[in-house]
Amino acid sequence: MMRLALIGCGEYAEQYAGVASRLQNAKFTATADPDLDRARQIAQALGASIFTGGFDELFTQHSDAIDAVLIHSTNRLHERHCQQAAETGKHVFVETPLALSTPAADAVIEACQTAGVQLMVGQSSRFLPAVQIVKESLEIGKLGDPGLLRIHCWQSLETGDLDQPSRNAEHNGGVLFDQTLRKIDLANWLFGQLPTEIYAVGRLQSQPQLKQWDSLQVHLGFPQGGMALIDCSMTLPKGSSYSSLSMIGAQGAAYADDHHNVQLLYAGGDPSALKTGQGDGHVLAQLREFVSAVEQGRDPPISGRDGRMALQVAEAAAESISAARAAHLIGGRYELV
Amino acid sequence: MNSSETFRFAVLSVVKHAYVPNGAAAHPRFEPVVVADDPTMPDWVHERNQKFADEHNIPYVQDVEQAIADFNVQVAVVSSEAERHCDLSVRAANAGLHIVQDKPMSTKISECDRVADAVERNRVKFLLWNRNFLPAVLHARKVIESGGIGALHTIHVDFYFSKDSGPPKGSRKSGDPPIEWLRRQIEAHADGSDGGVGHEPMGELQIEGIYPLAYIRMLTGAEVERVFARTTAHFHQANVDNDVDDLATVTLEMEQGILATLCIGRIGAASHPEIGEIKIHVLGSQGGLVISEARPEVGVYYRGQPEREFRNRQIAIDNDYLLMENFACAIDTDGETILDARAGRAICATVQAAVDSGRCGRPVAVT
Repeated sequence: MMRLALIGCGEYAEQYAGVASRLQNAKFTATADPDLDRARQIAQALGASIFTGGFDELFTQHSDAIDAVLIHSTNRLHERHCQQAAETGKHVFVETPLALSTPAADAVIEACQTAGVQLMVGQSSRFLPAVQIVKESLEIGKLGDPGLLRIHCWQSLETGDLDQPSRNAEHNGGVLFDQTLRKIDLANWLFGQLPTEIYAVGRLQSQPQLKQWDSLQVHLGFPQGGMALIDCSMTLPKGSSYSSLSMIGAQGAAYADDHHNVQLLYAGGDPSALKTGQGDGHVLAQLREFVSAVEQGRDPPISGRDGRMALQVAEAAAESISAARAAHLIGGRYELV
Repeated sequence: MNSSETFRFAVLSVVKHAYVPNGAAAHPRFEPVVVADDPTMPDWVHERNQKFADEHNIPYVQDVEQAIADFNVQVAVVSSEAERHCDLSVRAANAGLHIVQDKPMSTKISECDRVADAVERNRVKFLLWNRNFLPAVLHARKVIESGGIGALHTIHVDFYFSKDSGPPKGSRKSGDPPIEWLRRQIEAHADGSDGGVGHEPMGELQIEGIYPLAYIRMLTGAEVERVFARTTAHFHQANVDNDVDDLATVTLEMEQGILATLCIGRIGAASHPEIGEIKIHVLGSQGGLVISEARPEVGVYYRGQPEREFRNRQIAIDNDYLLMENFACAIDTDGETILDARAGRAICATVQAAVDSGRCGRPVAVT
C-alpha cells in the first residue's frame, strides 16, 4: 500500500478528500500546510494521521511515513518541494506548473532522475471526461488530422484573492503560468508536439490594482498547418466560470462546451443557467495513474518533459507579449522574429 | 423620399447568391424590375442572370448603363463574381443609384476605396450584405449596449461553416491536374456551397470573414489596429490546389485596448449537425456573454432523413428584412447603413492584413 503525503491543502485538497476512499493500493498518511488547522482538517478528511504546519518538517520528521508526495503548494514553491522530495527518495507528483522557469524544471527533472524516483506532473484537465473523449476521437482517427483547437477559460479573480498566495502573481506566476499553461499543455498534448509559432497578447482589463494580466490570448501554430487559440480571462464576476474546448479535424470535429451543458432554473423572471459538472472522476483517474506508474515502474502519463514543454511555450508567450512580436521555434528554441 | 415610397431596383449580375436580390425583393418597399449585366460576360453568367430574371418575370438586359437609363431604378443590387463587385457598384453610384452589394466587398482594398469615394461623391447609400440582424446577434448587442456586462474588453467569434467544397484534401492523384477555382465554384452552384465565385481564388477569410468581423465591429464600435493570423488549407483539395485557406485563426488588437479573436473555417459537412458552430463570446468589466448565432432554432428529425439535411433550423430569421429596412431608413433619413462602404473597406483591410500575417508569420498593422 503506497503512502501518500499531500503538500499544500488548498482548494484541490477537498477534491482529493472526495476520492480518497476510492483509491486502491494507496492511502493518504500525512498532510502539510502553513495553516495548521487546514492541514488538520484535510488530514481528517483524507484519513491521514499526520498533519504538520511546516513543509520542511514533513520531510525531516515524517519521512518514514510516506512513499510519495502530491505537491499542491504555491507554484513558487514547487521546485523546492520537488527537490526535497527527490532528495529524501520520495516519488513526486507535482501539480502544474512543474516550476516557474525551464531551468528550474530541468533541475527538478535531473534531481528525480538522480534519485531514481518517479516524477509526474499533475494536469487533471487531461483526465476530464470531455477532454478524454476528444483525445480518444483524435487518436482513433475519427477527427482526422487535428486542425484547430479553440479553448476558452473564463474565471474570476477578486482583489481580495491576492491575499492568498495561490492567487497572487508573485507566488503563482500569474494567469499565464497558473491557468494558461494548463491549456498550453492540452494543446501540446492534443497536437502531439511543440508549436512552431507563438503570438500572445496580454491585457489588464478589469482591475488595475491587480498589477498582472487578467486576460490572455495565446495563438499557437503547429507543423502541418495546425493551430490553437487559447483564451484565458480572469474577469468574470466572483464565483463565475466558463470553459469551452473544441477540436476541428480534417474529418470531423468535437465540441466540449459548457454552453451545451447548461440546465435552466426558473425562479422568477428569465431563467438562470445552471452548469452541470463533470464529477471528480478526473481527479481519481489522475491519481490512479500516478500510483500505478510508481508501482509498475513505468513512465507516468504526464512526464517532467511534458511539464517542461508547456513551460517553454509559456515563457515564449511571455516574451511575445512583452515584445509584441511573434516567436518561432528555431533549432529547438523559441526566438522572437 | 418618404417612408412609404417603393424603390425600384436593378439586379446587376446575379451569378453568386440569389439570396441577396431575393432578400431585397422580399421587402415590401423594394421591387426588382430588371436584371442587367455586361454583354461580354461568358455564357454561364448570362444563363444565371436569365434564370433569375425568369423567376421574377422581369427582363434581362445585356447592357448595364442602358438598363439603368431605361428602367427608372433608384437602387442597384450587386451579386456578381467577387472581382466585379466594386466596379459595378461604382458604376451604379455614378448613375446616382443606392447600392446593396453582396460580400466580400472586394479582394482589393483599392477597389473598396473606389466604391467609398464614389458613394460619398454621389451622395448615395451603400449596404454591404451581412448577418448583423440575426436575433442572437441583436440580443448580444442589446445586452452590451444596456451595460449588462459592463465595458466590453474582449470578444471572440467562432465561425465555422460545415460545408464541403469538392474533393477532400489529399484526394488528388499523381498526374491529376489541379482543381480550377472558377470551374469548381460553378459546378458547386447546385448545392449552394459556391461562396467564393470569382476568377481569383479566395480563402475562407476573404469569402466569409466579413460576417464575423462585422459582428466584432458592430459590438465593439472599435477599429482593428493590428492582427496576427494563422491560415492553412486543411480540408479541401480545391483550396490546396489554389493556395488559399479554408481554416484560419486571427488575433485582433483593437482600439481602446479591446482584444478580439476569430476562428473561421469551411470545416466539412461531417463536422457539425447543422450549418456550423457559430458563436460569439464577449467579456466585459462586469460579466460575460456566450451567444450561439443559430439560436433560437427548432430540431426536426425523422425516419429516412437525408444525411445532409440540417436537423436544426434557425427560426425568427428576420435578417434579410431588417437589413433592407435599415437600408430604406438610411435612404429616407440620409442616415448610415448598418455596414456602409467605409466599414466594408475597413473589414477588407483587416482581412488582407490577416492573409498577409498568415503568410509571413508575424503581426501586421491594418492600414
